[in-house]
Amino acid sequence: MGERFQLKIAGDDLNKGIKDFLIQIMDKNKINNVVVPLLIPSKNNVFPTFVRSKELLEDAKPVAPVLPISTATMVSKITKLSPSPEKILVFLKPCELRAVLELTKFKQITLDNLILISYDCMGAYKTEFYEEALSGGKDIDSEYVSKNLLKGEQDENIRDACKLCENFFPTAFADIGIGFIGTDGGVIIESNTEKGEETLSKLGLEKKEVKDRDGKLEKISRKRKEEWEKVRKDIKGETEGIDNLVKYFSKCIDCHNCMSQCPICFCRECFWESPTFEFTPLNFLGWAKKRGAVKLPTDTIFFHLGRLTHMATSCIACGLCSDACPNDIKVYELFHLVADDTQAVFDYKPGRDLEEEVPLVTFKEDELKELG
Amino acid sequence: MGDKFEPKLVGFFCNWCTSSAADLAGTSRMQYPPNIRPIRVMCSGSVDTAYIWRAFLEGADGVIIGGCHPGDCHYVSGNYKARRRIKIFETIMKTLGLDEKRLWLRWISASEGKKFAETMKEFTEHIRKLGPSKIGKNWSV
Repeated sequence: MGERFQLKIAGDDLNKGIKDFLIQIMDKNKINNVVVPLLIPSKNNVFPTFVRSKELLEDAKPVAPVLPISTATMVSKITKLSPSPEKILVFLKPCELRAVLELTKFKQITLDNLILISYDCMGAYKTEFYEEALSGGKDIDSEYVSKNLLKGEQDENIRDACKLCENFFPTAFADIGIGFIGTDGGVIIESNTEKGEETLSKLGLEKKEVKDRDGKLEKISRKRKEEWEKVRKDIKGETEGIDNLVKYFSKCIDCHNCMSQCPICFCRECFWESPTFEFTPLNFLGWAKKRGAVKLPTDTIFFHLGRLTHMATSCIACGLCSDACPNDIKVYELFHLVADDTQAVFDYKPGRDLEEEVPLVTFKEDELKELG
Repeated sequence: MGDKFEPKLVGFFCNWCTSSAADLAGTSRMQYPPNIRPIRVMCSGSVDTAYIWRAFLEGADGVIIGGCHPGDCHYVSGNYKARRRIKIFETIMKTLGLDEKRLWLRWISASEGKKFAETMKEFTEHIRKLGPSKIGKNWSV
């Protein structure tokens, strides 16, 4: 494990090169299924797609810079009720990989027969931006590959969450990792798990030593962390106290889109969608009497605060909440801020390690003595 | 009572310990301030943090959760889980500048009627000093 190999790709066409690599894995390992970003038939967007036909796989765009939804949520839809009887290759962005790990801990994904592949991601554009580029006939994918993936430049137009992402490379839990950064030229393949090693062993790949990949990843990570610290400070200032919080969420229309797109929010019987919120006139009369008035819809701040207490310890900072907001509230920034602090209490990093238990489902007898 | 600030306090008390302690305090005729609105729950670990937010947003000046002493939970580990949840809640309050001092967690067993009365006195005085909470005043939450 931890071995690195070279992936030979003709020219700069990473999407084709990686697609050929996937086909090679499938052929040599007798795998018939793959979940990978694919150009939809209307040719103006890319979505994760469960593909079996090799012919359709021609339209695969594994490293397309767009994140319309989290593939982790989709993997959960596929494997929640039972493990897949056939092997499935799953191609994921690093944030999606972290979400897959969290959902596995929550027993919403069965990893059996899944082979997880991830890569050095330099961020995604907003779906709207990407769709417009494709509709306008712009070759946004090739530009992204040559400028951003292969040269490591950061594009100004990528999503805010991506600009601040500190974990943009495959973690040790990717069975197979594809690297572009610190590879001393070219593309490298890493096998991080036994499953990955076994899958790759059948391919006859050439081994490759790289000098300072970890150092280079760390450098970008550190720079983004510094950037986040600045944003963090601003957001903390903007949200301090209840009145500022109300201002921050002043455009919230209680649509719950942020929650429905959140890969961590999986509860079948969600508290926020439950009959708890079916009120009688007496409730409204009571509130109006007490506070003088009730903003309608009510309970918007309650919703965000409550959701934070439910899921912040597992927030993987993917930013899909902000993407989903119809009124462009900076949901991600606030959730990331709170996630940072709550995760630090338990030295927990979501998506880091499958063995690490989610803080809310476990405890130590000898801890937090200052509380009780 | 005039203009004097009387704190509105909400307590979530475990059925097996703190609620019984409240009973004991009552039957022993111990005196404590009437500011606390006790809610009996089956376990401190069964308190969804959403209801603590609800209490604050509906105008509580302070919230106290009472459970069994560590190791004594009727359901083995509910109080340990409650402790983690309260820690997370407190951290979020702190991060968002929502005055985390208004939230207390206390272990009070069924035999500790006196401790119950004293804790309620202490908590009432503590919140009285902090003054009214701003969280419940905003009608746009």
